[in-house]
Amino acid sequence: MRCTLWLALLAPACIAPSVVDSTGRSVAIAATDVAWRDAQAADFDGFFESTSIEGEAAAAIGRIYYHFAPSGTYTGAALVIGGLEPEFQTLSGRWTHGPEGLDLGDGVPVRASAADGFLRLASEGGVVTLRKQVIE
Amino acid sequence: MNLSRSLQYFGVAALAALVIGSAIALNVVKGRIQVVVSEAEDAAQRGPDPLELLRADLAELRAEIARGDELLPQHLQTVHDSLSGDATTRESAVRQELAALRTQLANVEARLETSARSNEAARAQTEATLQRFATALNDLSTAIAANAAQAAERARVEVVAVVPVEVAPVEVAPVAVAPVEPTPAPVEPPPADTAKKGFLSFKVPEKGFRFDARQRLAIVPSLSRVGFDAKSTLHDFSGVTQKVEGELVVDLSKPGDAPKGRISVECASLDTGLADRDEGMRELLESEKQKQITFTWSAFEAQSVDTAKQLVQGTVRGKLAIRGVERELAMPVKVSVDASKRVGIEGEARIKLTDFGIEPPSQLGMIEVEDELRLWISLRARTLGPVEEAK
Repeated sequence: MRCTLWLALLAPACIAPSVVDSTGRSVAIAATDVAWRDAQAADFDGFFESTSIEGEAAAAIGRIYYHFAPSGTYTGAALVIGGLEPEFQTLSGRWTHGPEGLDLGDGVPVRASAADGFLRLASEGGVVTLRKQVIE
Repeated sequence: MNLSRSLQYFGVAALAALVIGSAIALNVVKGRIQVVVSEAEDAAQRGPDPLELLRADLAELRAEIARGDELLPQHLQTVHDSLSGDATTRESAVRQELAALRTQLANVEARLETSARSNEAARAQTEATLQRFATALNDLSTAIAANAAQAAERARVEVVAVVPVEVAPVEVAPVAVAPVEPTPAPVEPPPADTAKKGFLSFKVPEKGFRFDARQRLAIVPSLSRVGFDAKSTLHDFSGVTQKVEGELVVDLSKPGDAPKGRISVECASLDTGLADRDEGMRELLESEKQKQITFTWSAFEAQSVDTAKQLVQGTVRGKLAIRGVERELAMPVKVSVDASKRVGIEGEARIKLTDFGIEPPSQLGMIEVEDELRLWISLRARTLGPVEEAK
């Protein structure tokens, strides 16, 4: 049994080294070479969950969810951390999309980009990448 | 004349007759009359003497008048004092009210002045902010143009299909792994700003990350990695996992001031890129019994703390537990803060398997794994907020 164990450990000895380079130990924060395009109104239809949040907001928001309806209404939730306990903050309102970007009803348009199944919203506080999800 | 003389004689005679008659009468009745003198009874029978009563009343009135005369100046003085006191009190109260009104007026004037200054300051600040935005936009445009040029350059030399996911899966290829993306450079600390900010209409709490505050930091598993590099006679390899979790409590500006924390790694998740080798490693680590490798952080020896650049270098000290065996560990680390206010911790240290009761794998004494491993961490942690605790 023990012999088999050692064999298993040493069997790949003839294979080339597979040591992680010391400069490659950190995890990539987010892919940046995606071919993002300007979002169109149709890109906002559906339910989205954040896959990454970067920027200042990342220190206080752990996850973001949005549901955009074609009728122009939306609802959203953010898992806000930094208080005593994490808590969800929710929003509802009307959304519009124009040349200046996505307006969530507060009169402050945010830049919106889209890729296949993804949305990226960029505002002063940071950038959130959202993946489209299916509501089951 | 004769008549006068006759009347004189008659008068004398009558008087003499009256005296003689009275003496006779007295002599006759003196044995029959008993005179008893009793003053008290007499007085009681007579009652109080009205004259004496009047005199007494008069004396009493005189005494009262005398007392009144004596008291009158005092009463007059009291009345005078009282009237004077009321006037003084009223005057004092009025003065106080007047002073309060003057103070209020001064406050209002001060507020108006402050408000005017604030408006000026706010306008100046807004203009400065707009100016900064304009500068930032110009910088951003320049950066975008530069990035576009670099991307175009890269596109000519390599074709990489990248899916926009948050975390790339850990893959240990049989060749040296190229860096996926360099660690973000530490950013300059932003100016202190405690105002509540919005992000995509959400309200971001004021309690954000602070370099100079003792706070709880939670490891973000999806952005963290822990691994080891091992050497064998013919082949070197790494084992890596992202199944890492834990919390740290530290003031990064004073990292040696009672830091503490615990980091856990799931043994069975260590991946060397070969399933058979992974299986053998799990048996060595007895991962069925001891599911976690843990490091308990108890001290930090700072070599440098750069508050401006939010960089810390030093040595973390604590206890590493592998397969239930605990040993002291000192690991030099570099701590930084990225643009997302996440704390990055990079470090490595050498450990010996035999220190933890693990015999290095060997086959016939010819092919051996070295006893010494290089253990490394690449962690990212986000703040959970400041802590107020007794150190």
